[in-house]
Amino acid sequence: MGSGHSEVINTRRVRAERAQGMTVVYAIMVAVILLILLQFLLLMVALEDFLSGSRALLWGAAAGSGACFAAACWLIRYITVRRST
Amino acid sequence: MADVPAWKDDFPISWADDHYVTRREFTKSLVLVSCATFCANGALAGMGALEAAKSGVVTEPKKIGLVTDLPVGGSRVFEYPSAGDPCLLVRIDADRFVAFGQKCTHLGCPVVYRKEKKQLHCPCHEGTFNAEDGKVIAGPPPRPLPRIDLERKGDELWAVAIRK
Repeated sequence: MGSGHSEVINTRRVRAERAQGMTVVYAIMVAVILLILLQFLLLMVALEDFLSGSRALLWGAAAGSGACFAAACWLIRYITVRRST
Repeated sequence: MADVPAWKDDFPISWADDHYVTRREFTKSLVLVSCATFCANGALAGMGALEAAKSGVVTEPKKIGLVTDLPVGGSRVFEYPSAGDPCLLVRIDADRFVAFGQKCTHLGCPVVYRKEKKQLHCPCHEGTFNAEDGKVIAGPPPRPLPRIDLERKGDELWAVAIRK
């Protein structure tokens, strides 16, 4: 019940923390993929707007895409910071 | 064992290890895709702004041909106001000429003249315009075709302005 027991507890804790961390990492990756899909949608809208000569949505779509990119960068940074600590 | 070349001993690289993609690499590629998509969106916005600035320039009259060049019911492509801006000249009747921008207002496909129906037709998504005034008759185009004002000087036809 001495040091052997505490070692087992520590190992389990490390494994649990790792599993929890991986869940967060996968959640973030899924979120980034969803953001990229949204960016593709915005790109399609912008392309259609450009080809039709309307040009009413071009800057809005670009701003939205920029926001998605910024969010993706922020999420990725969160992953890399977590992984390095 | 005898078939293994000697150089493989010096460079023992496993294809499975070489092609293995780590989560970190995958994540980096996601960011690159996101960046590329944002750049494409920005480029489209820039090109749109450039075209808007170009369309504000005052257009000069341009000779587009002779009346005798075109038979009744015929059509011909010309460029106005500048090269790369295709337009369609149509001779509806003996004395009636009309001209419109050739790019469909839906997605920019070139329209063609159908003389039996006196319509301009976009084959990409079945858009149809009235050849008299360029208004949309059917299909997905959201706006009429831009109209080119024509002027007849003797036997010559001139494009003088574009009305969007």
